[in-house]
Amino acid sequence: MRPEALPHVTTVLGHVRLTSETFELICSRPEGFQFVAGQHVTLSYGREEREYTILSPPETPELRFLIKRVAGGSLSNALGELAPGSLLGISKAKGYLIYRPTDRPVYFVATGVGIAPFVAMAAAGVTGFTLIHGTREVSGLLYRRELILAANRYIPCLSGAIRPGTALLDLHRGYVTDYVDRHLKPGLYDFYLCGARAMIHDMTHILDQHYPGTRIYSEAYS
Amino acid sequence: MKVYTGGGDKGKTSLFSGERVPKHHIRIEAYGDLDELNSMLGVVSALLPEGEQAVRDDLEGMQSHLFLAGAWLATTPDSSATGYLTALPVNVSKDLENRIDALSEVLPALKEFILPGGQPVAAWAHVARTVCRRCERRLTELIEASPSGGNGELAAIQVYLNRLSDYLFVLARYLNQALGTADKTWKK
Repeated sequence: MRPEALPHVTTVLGHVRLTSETFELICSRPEGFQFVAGQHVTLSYGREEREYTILSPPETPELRFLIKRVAGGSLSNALGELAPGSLLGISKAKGYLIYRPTDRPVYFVATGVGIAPFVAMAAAGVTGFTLIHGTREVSGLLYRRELILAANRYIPCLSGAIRPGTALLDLHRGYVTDYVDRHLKPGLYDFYLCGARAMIHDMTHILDQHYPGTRIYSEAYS
Repeated sequence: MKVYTGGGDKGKTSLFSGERVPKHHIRIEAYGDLDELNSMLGVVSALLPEGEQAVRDDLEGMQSHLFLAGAWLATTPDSSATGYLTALPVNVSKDLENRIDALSEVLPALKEFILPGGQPVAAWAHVARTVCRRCERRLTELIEASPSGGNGELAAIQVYLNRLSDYLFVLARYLNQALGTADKTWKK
């Protein structure tokens, strides 16, 4: 699809730097733009376009996006440098990684910036879930404070080296898949997966094999 | 977003309501057939002769309706996920009847069985019709297999598919006539 085919235009309002690699892009909300927490859009600038999950909850007047600067990625780096007032193309909201109320235990599992839809869901009022967030380093555990408040349990999984003395409640050293494989008790669950393709692939097979009957909703990032 | 995750490599897939089911599950078969029908409508649309923009627009609308219907078929009735689904437009089957009537007006009355075929675009419309009939059969099977007997939306989809297969039959005849090919009747 050509960028100019996107149906809405949004105005850049500003940025919030999160880490050296990640930032929030704050944009205006086009008139009549509707979405459900967890959905994503295509953003375009010039001839480049890419999909980003909306980080902010549906009731807010602006749209926020969590963006990771990709080495050599022309759009993510351009978005990080845009001046307020710049215009972007934006698609309708799409995607099905949206919360379905349930009486089962709910697990949100994310790697890296795949945390975005769960931040949106928590901000929209979803509570009572267990969140497992896998990153390489502590600095990648974005929105930890907000998610701890909404979650029944927050489990950080760090796969890289950590500084001596790092103290995190429920810290698991390793991948999110290792955590589930080792610690989840038999039962029926609702799992929401967002992040790296390899994680979704492996987690889906673990759940199919060891937790039959568990529901899985997933969306893969690159 | 990645198109592929490999989550289905071992023969299972997720319904819209999250359940993991084998890829030959009746629900997957049902919406897979709808997908096939949708693709057939795409073939017919791609082969339409010049001057049939109205038919092309109609087919495009029907393709969108089939997407809506597919989402319902991919969802366990009474699950909370149904809250995110969109119902077919209220008059969608009535609109199809109007389209059938409009196309039929220019056609000779049908007194005998006709052989599916004729011009390539019409022949494909016949193939689409038969796929549509299969969709109906799958849907009735699905409704019967559902503990709750399906729900209101599945019943509406059933009516829609029934009209759509009639439409495709009439469309095939209309296209043959528009391209100067007479119906070929069945000779016993």
